[in-house]
Amino acid sequence: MAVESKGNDASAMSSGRRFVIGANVTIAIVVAALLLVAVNWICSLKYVREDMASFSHYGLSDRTKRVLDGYSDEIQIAVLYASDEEDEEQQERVSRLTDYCDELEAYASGVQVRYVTKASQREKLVARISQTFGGEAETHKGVLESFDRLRSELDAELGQRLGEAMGLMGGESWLGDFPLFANVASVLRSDRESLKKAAEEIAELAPEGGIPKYADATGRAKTALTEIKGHFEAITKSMGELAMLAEETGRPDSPNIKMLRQVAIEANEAVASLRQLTGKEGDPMPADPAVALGGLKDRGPEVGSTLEALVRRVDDFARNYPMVRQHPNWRAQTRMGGLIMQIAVADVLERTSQTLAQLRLGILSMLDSGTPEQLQIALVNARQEVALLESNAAACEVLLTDLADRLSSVDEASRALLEASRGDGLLAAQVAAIDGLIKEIDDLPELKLGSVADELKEDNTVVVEANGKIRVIGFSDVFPMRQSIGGPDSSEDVKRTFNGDSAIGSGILALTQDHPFATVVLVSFEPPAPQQRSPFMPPPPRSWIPSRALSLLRKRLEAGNFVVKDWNLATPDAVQPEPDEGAENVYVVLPPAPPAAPNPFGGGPPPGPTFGEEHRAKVRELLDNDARMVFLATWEITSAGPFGGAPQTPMYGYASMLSEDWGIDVDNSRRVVWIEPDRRKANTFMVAPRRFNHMPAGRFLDHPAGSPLRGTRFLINDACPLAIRDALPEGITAEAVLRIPDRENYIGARLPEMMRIITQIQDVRAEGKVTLVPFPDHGPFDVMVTAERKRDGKGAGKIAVMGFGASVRDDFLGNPVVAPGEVLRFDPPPTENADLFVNTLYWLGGQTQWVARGPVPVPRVEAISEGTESGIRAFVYVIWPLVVFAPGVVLWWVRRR
Amino acid sequence: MIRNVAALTQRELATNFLSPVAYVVAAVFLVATGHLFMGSTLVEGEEASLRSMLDSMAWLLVFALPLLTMRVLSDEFASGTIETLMTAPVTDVEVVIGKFLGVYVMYLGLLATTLVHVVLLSAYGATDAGVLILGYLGMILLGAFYVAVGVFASALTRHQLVAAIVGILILAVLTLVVDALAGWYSGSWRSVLAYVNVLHHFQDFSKGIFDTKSLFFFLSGTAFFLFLAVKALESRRWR
Repeated sequence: MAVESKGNDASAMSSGRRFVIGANVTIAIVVAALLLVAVNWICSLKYVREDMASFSHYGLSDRTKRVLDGYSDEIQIAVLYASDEEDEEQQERVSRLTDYCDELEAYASGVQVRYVTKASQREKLVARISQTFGGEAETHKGVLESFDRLRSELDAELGQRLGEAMGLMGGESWLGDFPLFANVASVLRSDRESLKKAAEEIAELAPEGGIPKYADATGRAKTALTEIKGHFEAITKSMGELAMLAEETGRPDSPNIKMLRQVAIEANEAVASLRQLTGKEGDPMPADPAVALGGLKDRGPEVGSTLEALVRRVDDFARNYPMVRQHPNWRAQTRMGGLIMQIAVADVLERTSQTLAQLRLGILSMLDSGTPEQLQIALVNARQEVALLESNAAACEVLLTDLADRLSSVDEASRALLEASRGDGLLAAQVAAIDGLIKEIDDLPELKLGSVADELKEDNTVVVEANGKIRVIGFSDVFPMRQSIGGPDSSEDVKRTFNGDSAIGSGILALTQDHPFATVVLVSFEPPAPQQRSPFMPPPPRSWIPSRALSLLRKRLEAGNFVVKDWNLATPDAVQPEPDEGAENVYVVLPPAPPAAPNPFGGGPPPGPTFGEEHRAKVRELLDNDARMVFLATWEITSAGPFGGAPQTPMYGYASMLSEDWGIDVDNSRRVVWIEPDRRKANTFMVAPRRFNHMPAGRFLDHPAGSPLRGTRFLINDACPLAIRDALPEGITAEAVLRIPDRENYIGARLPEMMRIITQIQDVRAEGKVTLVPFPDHGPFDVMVTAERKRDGKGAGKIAVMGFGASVRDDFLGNPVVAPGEVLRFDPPPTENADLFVNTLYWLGGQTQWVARGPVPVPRVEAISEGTESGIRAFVYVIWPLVVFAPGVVLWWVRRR
Repeated sequence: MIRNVAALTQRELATNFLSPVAYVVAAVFLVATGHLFMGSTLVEGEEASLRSMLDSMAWLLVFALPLLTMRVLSDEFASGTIETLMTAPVTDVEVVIGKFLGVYVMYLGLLATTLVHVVLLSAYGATDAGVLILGYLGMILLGAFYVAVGVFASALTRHQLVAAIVGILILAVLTLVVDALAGWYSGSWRSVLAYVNVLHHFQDFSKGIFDTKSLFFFLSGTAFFLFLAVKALESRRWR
């Protein structure tokens, strides 16, 4: 395409010709652009893409390629991260993750990656995920909407009732007399507040445009409703009782009101009759005080009986209408001895009767043997007592009369409210509505999203969706920590390595499988606790790795598309679990609980079953039938028993079987400990608590299960040495997976040495220094081995033995690790142990193609001394630029001359 | 044609290398790349790869290469020597290719000076030959693309500064702007923007991944901008 141009003087051209040439050029450019697009389009359809790096750091692993090859449907990946321009490391990591996701997209057309950096994008993603995966979320949402509606209704109802209550409390109403009614008002007010607060919290938990935590929100709603329901029921009951009382006392011919008035009069009259016998205080002393006292003695029982009968009548009323006890006039202020007390009016009468009885007894003894002077004094005392009784009876009369007056005058407002409280009760409809909603909450389906909603709130996570399932992969999985390159005590920042291929690939793998990889059976021996145990007996022994302490591992396995089941050999009727459809059983054999301590108060066998040959035989039988097993062994220490004594290390229950059948010796009497030898003092070393609890052990040999974990931080605890025998049983081949190197930093300490080490660690004055003579053996120690058995040239059983089985317990996998350095900070929990465990299961199941490759050990820049670095800096910044610049100077100088 | 192109290239190279400016540029370039090397590559514990340095260089060259190419044609226009050139027995295509090669060879010379960093890195870490070779192949292809854009910009105007600004703008759109836009969009738009992003293609090479898509992207892009430069030069005859 060329434009013919005959003349140099363009201005001489006619405008028509210029237009033609211009159009010609424009067309040429458009055609060229189209050609450019076409070439690139064709190249993007058919292309070759090859990772030329020898370590394939940026490419996909073979496993991930296999996973993608085997799944043709859509895989959606969302990368969630906070865009932080200031954080260079964050930018680098995001860039690294983007590189990887680009590779995924480039390899498989079904993979779609989106990057979520803004809150609005995240909300959209969550909404879509909730829609797609949380069909049941709609039900939860509906319940929350019902809660909101009910809350509005309750709020209106409570507001109305509260207004009524406040109106009644202000005036001289019948209900206003009862302090309980003030409490009802107070409860109604606090319930309104409580509902409002619950609604606010629920709105935060399940925001309109945010990430809902439906389970928490509905739980909160249930708590609030249950609390309010309890209050409503109590209020309904109280108001019902008040209504009954009002109905009785409000009648014009109420027998109980009549009774109260009669009691008031009769009590006063009864006590007044005593006064006639004794005379008043200050009256002249009669010639024979014995006559007055005798009369009092004779009349006393009659008055006492009268008073007791009155008490019974009042008590009967209170028993039938308990709310009356809440009335302020039910209680009298009375004097008992020197004390002024608030007691019920019936009790005043009863005490009056009792006082009278005591007075009578005193008079009786005085009449028999008293001198005239003593009788005079007794009469004076009797007059005083009778005066007191009179005062109490008068008080009772006032109270009972007032009480009868108040109870009988039921005002219209109180009557209306109490009328509403009859029958089903004041708040019956509301209680029924609350009951209905609580039932709805109880019946809610379990949220499939589970913890996804929470995990989506985190930054630096990757969400993978495939096959109608979802998986959230955390930052620590994609960028796990690697060993600090600056040495164990370096204080430099945490170094992380990229493990996206393993983490994301595993996520895709788990999502795209239709059947579980295997059914993992946790084989334990944990005797149940006896139902009745003497307080002097020690608790039943427990395994060093009880199955209930493996919940995190269980969760990890379930997330990795394994099914986990339990089989406790100590339960006689426990049946061996069957594998799930499309899967085979892989057994994880936990250390059996040691034998129980004998009864210290008598002979006989220890309580409960004890692990023995019959249990081993079950495991052996499975292995004879080509089963695959992981044995979790560990260094153990048991307490000394109820009455002291040295702690012990029980022998590993499967030690003999593994040794005889598989040629693997488990020495759980020793614990591998990391030490720092003291160069200045023989047989002395330091033990850092950090490394005592989290011992670094990263020498993985060339085994499919372990080698992918090279280059990661690998920490273990309570590891016991294993050994492969020189002469293995026939048909057995064994190899080490993880080896503690032959360095003096690692020793195998026996129990007495361990006790000394532990003591020294805990002793501040020892500063972590320990001296041991003789010095324990140092490495190498194998801490994980595998073995295979072949019969007639065919595979017949595979096992893996982990000497650091305690390192997959919850307390290890779930707790952060103290980071190196002078400042106290924590690194994430050592979940790499779970990764090794999963790899081991793949190996046992003959599915090594699914073993994640782990972080690629990228060659890194070695340490450079300060002097060398300065030299390089000078060369790069000054010398080399000058060398290049010098010819220019020479040239300039020559040309100038 | 080859003889004409060689002559023009030689003339351009002589202009560049007989001027101390080229050496000043080279020295500044080396200090800059040295800084990148010491700051992000030769760092204890970091990956023993030049990727980080090369990626940064690719970004820097967006601004640097248009400064080298700005004068190749605009200076001819400004000084009037273009008339002499146009009357000479050379075609517009030969002029553009000659000018392009003149700057491109100089760029390759500059790039060659950074091989010293490879030597230094190899002394302190096991570098991967495959990644290094592909990284430099990427730089060679990227340089060709950038220089072609610069030559095109220079063919548009008689003002060197304007040529540099236009060149930088075009490259910025094809790198930084589309990169930023890709962060805003998703789905097909993101894919298109990512494909147009020159740095995105370069990063394949710097990672050690050979992709024919990226190879053809650079080759076709270079050819396209050189074609545009030829058309721009031709337009002076009839405008």
